[in-house]
Amino acid sequence: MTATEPVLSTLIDGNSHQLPDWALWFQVVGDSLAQWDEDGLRSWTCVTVPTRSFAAALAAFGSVRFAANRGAEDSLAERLSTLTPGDAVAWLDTNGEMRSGRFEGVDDTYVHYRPRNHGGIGIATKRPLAMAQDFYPLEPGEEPFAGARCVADNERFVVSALGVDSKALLLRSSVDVVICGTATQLAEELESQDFCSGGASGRLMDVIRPKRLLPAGQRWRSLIVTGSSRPSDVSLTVDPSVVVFDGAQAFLRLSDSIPGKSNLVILDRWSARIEESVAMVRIARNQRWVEARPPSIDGLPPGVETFSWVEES
Amino acid sequence: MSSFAVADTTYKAASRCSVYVVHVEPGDVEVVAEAHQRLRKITWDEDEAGKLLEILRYARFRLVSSLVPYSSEQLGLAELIVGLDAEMEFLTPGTETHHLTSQAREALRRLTSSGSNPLGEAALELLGDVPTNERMVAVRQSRTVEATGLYLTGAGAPSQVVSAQSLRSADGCESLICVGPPQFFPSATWTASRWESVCFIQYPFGWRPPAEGGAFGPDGGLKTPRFRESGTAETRGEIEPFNVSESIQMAASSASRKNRFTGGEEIESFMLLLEDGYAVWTETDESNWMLCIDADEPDSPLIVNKAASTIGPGDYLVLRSGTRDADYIRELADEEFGAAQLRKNQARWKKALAEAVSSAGSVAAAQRELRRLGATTTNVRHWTSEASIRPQRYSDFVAACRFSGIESEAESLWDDLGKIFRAHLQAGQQVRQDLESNLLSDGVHELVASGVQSYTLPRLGELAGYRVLYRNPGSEMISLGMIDRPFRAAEGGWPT
Repeated sequence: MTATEPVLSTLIDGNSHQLPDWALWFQVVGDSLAQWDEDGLRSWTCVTVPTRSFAAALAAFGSVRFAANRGAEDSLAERLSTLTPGDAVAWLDTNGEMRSGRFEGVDDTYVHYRPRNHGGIGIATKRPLAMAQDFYPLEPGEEPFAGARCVADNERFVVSALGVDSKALLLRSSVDVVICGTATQLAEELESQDFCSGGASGRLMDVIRPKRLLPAGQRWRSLIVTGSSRPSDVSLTVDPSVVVFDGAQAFLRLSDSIPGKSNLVILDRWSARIEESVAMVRIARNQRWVEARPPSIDGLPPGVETFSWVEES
Repeated sequence: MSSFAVADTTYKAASRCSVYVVHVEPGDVEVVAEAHQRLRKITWDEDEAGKLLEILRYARFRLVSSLVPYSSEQLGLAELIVGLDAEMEFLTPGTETHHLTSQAREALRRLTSSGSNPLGEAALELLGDVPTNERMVAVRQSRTVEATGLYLTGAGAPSQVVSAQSLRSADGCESLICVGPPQFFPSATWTASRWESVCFIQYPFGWRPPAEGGAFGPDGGLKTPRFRESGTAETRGEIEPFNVSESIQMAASSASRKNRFTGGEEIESFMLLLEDGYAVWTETDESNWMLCIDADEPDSPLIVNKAASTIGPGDYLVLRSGTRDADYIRELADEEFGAAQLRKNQARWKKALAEAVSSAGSVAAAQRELRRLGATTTNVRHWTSEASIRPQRYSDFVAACRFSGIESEAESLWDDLGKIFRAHLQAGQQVRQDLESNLLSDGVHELVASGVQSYTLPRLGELAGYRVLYRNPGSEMISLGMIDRPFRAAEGGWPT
């Protein structure tokens, strides 16, 4: 699957419409930023747009889709090699139930893993790996949790939109993208607009899954940091691969606090702070750029302007 | 319509929008504009003709930005004619200044008595081709919105009328007509248009269409905006409130007279009346920008940087209130962003310029020489002041260096001064972030309620936000040490 493949279409008044060029472009931007990975370097891509609506959400979708596919490429053996006894892991049993516990080791007799049970969940300790569908280590600090059905809401939509098994989203939490902006506006974009993929309808919320907007205990794929957050609120335990600054206010307030590996700054030309933001972007670029190639993003839609650089991280 | 569909419509409008300028035959409007331009050029010392220039500037601005007949009371041209009458009594008959002022006054009289409205007539012609619900008219000043709407309705072309400021939140439609040159409206009007066509109705003098390089310059990739026609020449105008309480005008005038701090280095300044009886002098130069608080949402305030020339009633200024240097940006730029080590170069070019001005005999003579050497602006007083870093244009700086006998160093000095300038920007950004962190913890409810709120920041000490009540017209030469330093000028507060 390539980023430019139109996996989504919009659903308006019950009718499916092909995704317009600008929306597809933001999806490609998110994908390109997630792919960019240079040791010791950080990339910045700034765009000015006629309206910020859906720009951050679609870019985040591109980043999550890339990360989900990258995760699927890791083999079970590779993931197994990273585990040490005592690590918290989650796995799917053969009934599609999600379980978790502490990893003990490999039983050569049955060639299986024996998670020690935590929390009183009935888990067969002698179940061979082949009987478990998949497993993931939990994030550092994440405790084993109670069992749950591992089926995504709008599963057909999620599978088609991401091109991977939806269980990959629900087994573990990850931070594929951080979106800095206004939470209510992002929530409205993620939850109100219907999209179509693979003949099923769903919303961007189903795939982007920001922690802030999910019920407690659900696995997340992204974080939303609001423009009014204090610096202490936004200190992250992870180094995000993609950070989207949705608007001048988010950029001016948070760009120093949480820069990612690749950063996207979306500036609305109608914003009262556009001039100040552009001035700061120019200063940052002039002072910090190094000779390295920023993420390659082609096919600029009309009315959109870009400005990119790479700096040392 | 869903929000996604609205966004899609916006992108389509931005890519398809046609932008054009319609030039209107100016007639007597050009007489007023030319008199103003000419007087600006021949008046070396604006103190002498400051009031006169101000009246002509207001007259010119109202003529080129209004869609109502020039006889309309809302425009207040009659009051300006009375003001010109008063000013002419101080002018010597036979001088060019007297002649130009007289011409402008007569032209204004003809325009008001005839009730002509060339911009309005052009607008009516354009509006006739567009369905009522698909047309919008934008005017520069919000206070003329209602009068413009009434005029259009009376002329049989009812239309939605909005101010330039409210264009940010206006919905798109087929056609937008802007009254005045593009510079009177946000650049997004043509770079990120929500309308299928945008037409600027203006007189063919005074303003060029803006450059189309986009926010990030010519390499940014913005290719779509375009203007079908172009204007000529260049200048700018600011807006003055039409109706201000007479008592506060008198109080401001009195406070200005009583608090003229002089001595040492003096720079041209104007006075802002602040809440709770406070006042502050600040520099008139266009490079003077000040930190303000955008308190529209008291729970989530913003710190914004505003040109001093645009600050007026209702704005909230952030000023240092303690005994430390009022120029906290300079202090921070020196201490934390490396500007201190470059100050000697800044001082060197100012000293050379000051000596050259002294050798020339007078500021006016120096300005004439600078123009001869290629400078387009010659704000010598400001350039030699400690408050300024460098001229805005490189060509002006080179001319100043040539005039000062240090032309060979112009390039390296310009680079160093650029570093100082950037350090000031960084310092401003740092202050803004510090203030926002502080403001966010408390909100600005007290500031909105009382008009004054104090803050203490670790790096900067005591600061305070003040609501601006009035901007005193005219300017004075004020001691540099009193610039941007608030002081109590009226016990018990200002009259309302």
